[in-house]
Amino acid sequence: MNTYQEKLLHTHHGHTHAHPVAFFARLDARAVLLAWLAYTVLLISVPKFDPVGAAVFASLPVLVLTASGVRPGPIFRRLFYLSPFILLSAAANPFLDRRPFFEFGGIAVGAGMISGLVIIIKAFLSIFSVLTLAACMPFDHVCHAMRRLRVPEAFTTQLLLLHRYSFILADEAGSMRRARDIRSFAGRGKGPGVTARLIGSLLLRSTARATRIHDAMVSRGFHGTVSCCQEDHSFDRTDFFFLTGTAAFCLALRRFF
Amino acid sequence: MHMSDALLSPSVGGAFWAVSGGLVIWSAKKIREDADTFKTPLMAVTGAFIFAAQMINFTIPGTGSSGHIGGGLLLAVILGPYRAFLTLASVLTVQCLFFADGGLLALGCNMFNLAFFPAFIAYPLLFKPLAGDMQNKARLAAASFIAADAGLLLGAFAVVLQTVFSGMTDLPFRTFALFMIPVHFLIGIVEGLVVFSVLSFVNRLQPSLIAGRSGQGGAGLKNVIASFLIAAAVTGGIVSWFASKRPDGLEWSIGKASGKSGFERKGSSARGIAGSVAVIALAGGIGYIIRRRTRTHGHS
Repeated sequence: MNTYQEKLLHTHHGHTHAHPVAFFARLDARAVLLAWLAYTVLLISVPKFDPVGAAVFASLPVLVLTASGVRPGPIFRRLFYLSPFILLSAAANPFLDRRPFFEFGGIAVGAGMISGLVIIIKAFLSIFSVLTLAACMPFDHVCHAMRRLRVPEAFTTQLLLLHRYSFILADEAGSMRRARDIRSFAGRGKGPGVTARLIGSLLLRSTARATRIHDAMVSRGFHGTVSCCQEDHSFDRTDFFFLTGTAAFCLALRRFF
Repeated sequence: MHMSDALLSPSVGGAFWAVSGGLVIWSAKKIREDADTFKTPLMAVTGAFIFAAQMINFTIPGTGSSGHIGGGLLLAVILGPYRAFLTLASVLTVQCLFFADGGLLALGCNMFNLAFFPAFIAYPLLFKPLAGDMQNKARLAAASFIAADAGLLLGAFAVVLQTVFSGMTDLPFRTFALFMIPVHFLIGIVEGLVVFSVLSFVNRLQPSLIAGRSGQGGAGLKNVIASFLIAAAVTGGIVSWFASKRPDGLEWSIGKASGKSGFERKGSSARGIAGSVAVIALAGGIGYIIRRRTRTHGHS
């Protein structure tokens, strides 16, 4: 996990239970998830040589970001960490596709430059939209929506509990790492051998924790399923308008740009 | 390495969503057969353990750079294939939502590349037969290196195929594979080393955690499962290949709905650029007004 990921983990709103946008928390999470999927599919379907058509899709995450008050800092910082694999794919295009695409002030711009640019724009927008929406949606709502969209219960329960314990174990691993680092000089003691033993101890601690959690769950009446907080929420008119409105807006962006 | 939305076409992404979704449903059905409530928190905590273990970076000998464990094979050894697949899939989902690793449409590809291969191929077909009861150190080492490397290489190869079939990048298959395969071979060796060390450590201190915990079907069943899944993968691959070679199916319908064909050159005019800037600015303005008018709690 990189530093920016740790930062994102600790600034995540689902973690602090302070939902910046009450509007999203009130909606049926199924509507938000489906609208989000429609947005992603339409963004990804933008053709290879259409940078403007891709860039205009920034409008939706910009709207969510400004409307929600989600802190933009960690999100923008994340944009600087594009995976080398995306950068390679985008950077190769200008060299491999030299067909002239258009002329700008006497300089011919190659088709490869345009398609490389489209890859970068899509990568930015994918990160931007995922992080803004995930920051606005309480994570338990996402899991319950998935359950009600017939995703197997075993998987949604796993997600809920995983989210719950990630923060705890991340703290534990963080202190183990700090303890190792302050005892290592000039990089000695940070090799795979020592680290593997630390990871092994973390694993043993984690399974011991699982036993304690299980005892606590059983003593509170757990017998296989975790209940769902949006169970009584029905898919009402607001949800319907939200879903169709977003899908129609994205379709309009695809049509007019 | 995570597959990304930016390099995918909707049909390849959709095909792998279908394949990975099927795998999630099938694994969930399988684990319902043993009604052991302890496994529920165990899966959650081991999933969180993978997250946490990735925070403990180590320096890679001889390079000066640092890396972290992937953890797919380790989870499969602790939990068995079905539970490991679900746990890895959940870890990938959380990574997608919290860190934007990959993206929403690429999640299906990522579950396939990073969860299916270690859980259903590397562990049952390579690690288990090679490591045996894990008492022999040399066998355990060989199993860890070979299975970790094979899992990573298969995943990297799948990334190459998905990218090439999607056609967003112009990198030819050969060049791309020649770049990805050696890099992942080396990463796999380091991963194998860490998996081997962690397993020998656990074997010494608490052997009950990994020994005799198989109980999920014999080797014969594993072979049937694996061949079934390979068939599913090949079908998915062929379907997505056809879908991406011909502008029909999903892209065609999107193109039709939006009134644009996928290959039309457009949008580079000054009017288009000005229009899109105006739309983004308008969206930001509307968002600002909503923000001013809504009472929120939490951060101000």
